[in-house]
Amino acid sequence: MSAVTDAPVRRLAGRVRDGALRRWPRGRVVTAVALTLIAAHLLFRGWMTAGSWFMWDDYIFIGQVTLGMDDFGWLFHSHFSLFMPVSFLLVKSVAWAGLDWPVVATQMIVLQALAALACWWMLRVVFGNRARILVPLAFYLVTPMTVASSVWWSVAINQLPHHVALFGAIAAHVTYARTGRVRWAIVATLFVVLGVGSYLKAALIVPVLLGISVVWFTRGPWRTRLRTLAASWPAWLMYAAVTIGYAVAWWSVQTGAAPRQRCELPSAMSTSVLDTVVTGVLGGPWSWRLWTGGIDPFVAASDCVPQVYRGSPDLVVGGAPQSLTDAPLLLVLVATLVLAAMVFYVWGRRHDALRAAWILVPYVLVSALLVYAGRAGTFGSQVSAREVRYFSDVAALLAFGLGTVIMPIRGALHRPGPRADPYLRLRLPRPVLVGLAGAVVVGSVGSSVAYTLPWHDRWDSTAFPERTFVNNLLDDLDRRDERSTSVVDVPLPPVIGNPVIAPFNRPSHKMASLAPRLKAVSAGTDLGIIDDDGRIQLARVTGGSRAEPGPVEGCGYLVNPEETIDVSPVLDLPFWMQVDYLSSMDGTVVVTAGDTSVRVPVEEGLHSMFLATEGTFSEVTIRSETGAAVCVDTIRVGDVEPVEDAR
Amino acid sequence: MSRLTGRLRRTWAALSTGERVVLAAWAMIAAQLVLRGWAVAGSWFYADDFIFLGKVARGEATTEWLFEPHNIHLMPLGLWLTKLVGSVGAFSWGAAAVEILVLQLLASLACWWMLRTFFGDRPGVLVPLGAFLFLPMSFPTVVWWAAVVNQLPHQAALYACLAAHVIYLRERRRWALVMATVLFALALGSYTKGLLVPVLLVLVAVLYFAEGGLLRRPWRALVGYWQAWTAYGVVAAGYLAVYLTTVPGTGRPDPKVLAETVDLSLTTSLAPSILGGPWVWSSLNQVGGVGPRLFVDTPTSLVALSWLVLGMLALVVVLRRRRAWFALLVLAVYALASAVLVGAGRAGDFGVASASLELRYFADLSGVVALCLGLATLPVRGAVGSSEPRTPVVLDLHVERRWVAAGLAVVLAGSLWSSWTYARPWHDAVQMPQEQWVANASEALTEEPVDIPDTTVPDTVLWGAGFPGNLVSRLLSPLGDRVRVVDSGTDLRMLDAEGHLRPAAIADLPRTKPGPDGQCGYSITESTEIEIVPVLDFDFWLTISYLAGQDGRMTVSAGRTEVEVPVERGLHTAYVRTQGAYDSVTITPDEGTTLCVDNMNVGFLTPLAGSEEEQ
Repeated sequence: MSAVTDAPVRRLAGRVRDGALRRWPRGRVVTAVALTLIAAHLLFRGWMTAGSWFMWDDYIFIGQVTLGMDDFGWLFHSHFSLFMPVSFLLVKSVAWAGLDWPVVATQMIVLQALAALACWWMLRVVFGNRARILVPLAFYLVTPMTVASSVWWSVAINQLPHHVALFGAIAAHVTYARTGRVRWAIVATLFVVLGVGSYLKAALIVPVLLGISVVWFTRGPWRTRLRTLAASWPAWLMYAAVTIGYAVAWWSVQTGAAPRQRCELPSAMSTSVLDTVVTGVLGGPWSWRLWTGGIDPFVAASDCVPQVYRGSPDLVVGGAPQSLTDAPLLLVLVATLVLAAMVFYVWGRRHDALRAAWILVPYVLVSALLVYAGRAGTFGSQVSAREVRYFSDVAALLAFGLGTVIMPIRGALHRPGPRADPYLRLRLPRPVLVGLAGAVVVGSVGSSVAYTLPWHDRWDSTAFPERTFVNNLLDDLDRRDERSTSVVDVPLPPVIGNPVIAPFNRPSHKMASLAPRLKAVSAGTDLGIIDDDGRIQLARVTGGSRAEPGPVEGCGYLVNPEETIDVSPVLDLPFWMQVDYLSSMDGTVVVTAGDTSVRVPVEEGLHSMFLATEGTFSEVTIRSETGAAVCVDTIRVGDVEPVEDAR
Repeated sequence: MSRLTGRLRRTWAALSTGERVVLAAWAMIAAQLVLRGWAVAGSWFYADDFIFLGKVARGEATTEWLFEPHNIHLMPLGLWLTKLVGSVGAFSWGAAAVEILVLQLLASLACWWMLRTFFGDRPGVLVPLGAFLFLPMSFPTVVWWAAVVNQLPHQAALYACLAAHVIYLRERRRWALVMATVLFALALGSYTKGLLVPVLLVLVAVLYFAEGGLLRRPWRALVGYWQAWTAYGVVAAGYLAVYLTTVPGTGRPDPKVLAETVDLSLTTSLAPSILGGPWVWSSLNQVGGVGPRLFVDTPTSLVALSWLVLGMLALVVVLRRRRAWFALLVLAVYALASAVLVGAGRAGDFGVASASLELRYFADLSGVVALCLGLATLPVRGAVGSSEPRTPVVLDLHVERRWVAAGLAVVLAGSLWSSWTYARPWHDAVQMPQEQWVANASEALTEEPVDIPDTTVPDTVLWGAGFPGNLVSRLLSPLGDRVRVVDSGTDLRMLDAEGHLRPAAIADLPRTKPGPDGQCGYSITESTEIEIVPVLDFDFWLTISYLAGQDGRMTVSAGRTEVEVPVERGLHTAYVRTQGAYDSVTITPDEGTTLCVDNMNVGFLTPLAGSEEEQ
């Protein structure tokens, strides 16, 4: 910067420092800095959210609401073993807009803001409004462990309310422990309810609260500690009630769990802890691997073949731009050593500063176990244990834990402080600490950006195939300039609609919100089909005609008013039938074949009607209902495909 | 009895600390010798061993041969050691085992001498000595003779050279310098890694025997010990001159491969093995089928744990002792240089994983680790400055003695486990079929002195990359004239996968069309050319199945080959080893010899399976 421009800036900075900041009380400065940090965080996360798009479960939720499946009971159904009525309420509040990203993105940013504010509030309540709370706050705001909730709506509606609940419950519970006022226990209980209503892992909030009470608010032998704890029985009673209620509700809606295999357990634990949590805490993993980029290297490196791979490996790969942590072993080791050295440093110089380990270490281990039980045992530890989103609440809890290292909890019986006679008589110079913090921040931002970029790819079918597909579809609908386009309702390619989410792998469900511009039907005239790229093409049924050429010269089979046509026998499988016909006028016919009997409109002139059939049959009966005479030319039965492909 | 123990106790009490340390060191060295003796006794010759034995048996082990490169190694001393064993008798594992144990004893004594010279006879020396003796790093070398002849002399020379070097630095004795120079030359003569010896010599001189700051020190060391540098320099230059003129260049190593090798070697192989790892070995699906060689397969969690423990130990020792980081520097530099050398020399040919996960290449590090352990925790005698407690204390940490003992016990237990699991396949007849195969072959050939075709031995005995060392004539040459190999013959038999004699056959479709003469096939009374399916220019065998009415001879010519083979009355097969490409075979019977050729075959000979029932 040249001297000319430099001088005014320096003057201004000086004035702010000397004037405003110096005259402000310390507390207000802290508040201003905290709000500035939160604002910067929201700007960054806002950029992440704004460029992202719907993915996977998002379509299911919107489809369910569009199709009117969202009755009261729907709020309490189990979605892939997640019980999340609060999240479903959040879905209901915006799903009316359909596939309108800005609406959803706004909700995500609001939730993000609430989580950030809740973190700040928790830190203020627990530690007081002091400058040091800015350290854990900054950690929570910058950590890449929570990135998934800024780009993926389904994650945001689970995890951000969960974070709010965790922060709120800790703040309220600590206040209760300090003051003994039952109303704070009630507030904590309400936050726990909010938590368990949004995410499975919120079941761990109550153990955390118990841990906080044991670690900081009791002392002496176990007997004394228990007596102290028993004094806050109202809180335990309420927490227990919520926990039991939640457990009952959760179990009652569970369907059978996927099979899991034991051999994944060791690597699920070590990969979760080392590759994902330890690097994440220090701003890692710095290097990601796209799920769509193939998970084979991870699987090949493991002795244990994931359960799902034993079926069809195609099913494992989604159309998702999720990234898996992929830090090189060397960086994992460096991160582990740095973290251990930091812990050693704190231990050597401060007493009572590592009490949070009693809560954090079990929390991380239980999280890893949950990942094994819920995901890694089935999908493989090298996929599931490398997903940061399963550990985002660890980051939230770490904000609290980090605070307890450098600040006393107000009203606690144990307060961290410098050892009178430190084991380690070495003080790290400030530049080293600042440099370390700087490296964590830079690494965090880098990791976050790297995670986000594939989500912002509109047209890159390798990074985000699903988005490219839907973009093509929307593009096609726009260009068609028709009020409504009808397509056959056949399953989408597995990458776009995985069969495990059936029926949401079909356009009638997944794309339900596009109605009436796009109608996916099981019977109709001259239907289109969505091809593998998401483009709409004319449909045709594969194979040749199953009926002999008709008896009437120049017409084939004449339907007036009814005709039964023999076809070569069809097996009992879901197929599509295409009937090419010439009709004298518009009208409707009823087609009966096997178990299927459908009313289909006919249009004047030469057209094709399509209908989905079920059951085995060897004859097709067509009855004209409106008096139209219909000449049936060919009848084909089989799978539908785009006409382009047939050439 | 009680009088004896009483006397022993009194004698022990009368000993000085130094004497007790010496006794303990002897006991530890003896214990190591017993452990390794067990490992060696159950092992046998493997892979390159046969190449060396073959060379010696065929009288090719001349003085020039000692200076011929073996792969990329120039190892005259090592080759001379193989000559020693080869000349004792045919496949004498006993001689090899004795040689291995003597070399191991020399290496252990050299290491102990090095530690004594650096640190004196203090009890603290026993921990580094134990690290050298029992860490599994140097274990893979002792069960494989070909590795032993490189590595153990190299280790012995390296440690002794360091000891002599330090005596020279401390006392300026001329004899010590001469000795160090000779030992350096011996290290170079046994193993290419001897080139890294000066790295240690320089580091020790600069860090411990020179005064001054960062820039001053190297200069002072250079000037102060110029005689040593000159002597070492002359030896190294001489070696390099010989090396570069004899050993074919391996080409410039790919930087990516190099980086990956260094990374994998240091992170995964080296760190856990300093703590008694790798604990888990795997055979890595390596080429050449199943073999006893094992590779590091430590799970990531244990790798991380090892780093955590090592990192914390390093942190503690650096915080507690001044100049302890010198030791870490020495270790880091030497380990890095080793990994780079392995990466440059081996990774290109054998692949990153197999080069970096084979602990054998880091055997000499066991003694360097021991030295650095000492340098970190003990003062160096006569040094300008060496490791000493920090004053004032920086880390006030009192670890109880039993915790240290428990830690050492865990490392020792892990080391023994790693060693035991490594030795197992070398003692297993399935992984090491060589001994049985050679015994069977020797027995078969002694019972029935027969001509056999010079085929390659099964891959399980010596894999194809050992060609031509894997030819029967070469591999079995220590058996002397019991092995009679031929390039042609009648109804030949060959050694099968177990070493038994079996009829040789070519497992392929006949290369000839059915002959024109219904009953006879190709009737041959005069020189006849028979067309066959074309054959590429390769070393193949040609078999001719025929029916002859009388004994006689015929000349077979195909490609570049023309040989006369006997014809025997009756139904027989003639075998001819051919060279060159050809699409017809000319058979010229001697006067009065007629025969009917049924069919001809070209290809590799394989022992006919299932001939047991026929016999």
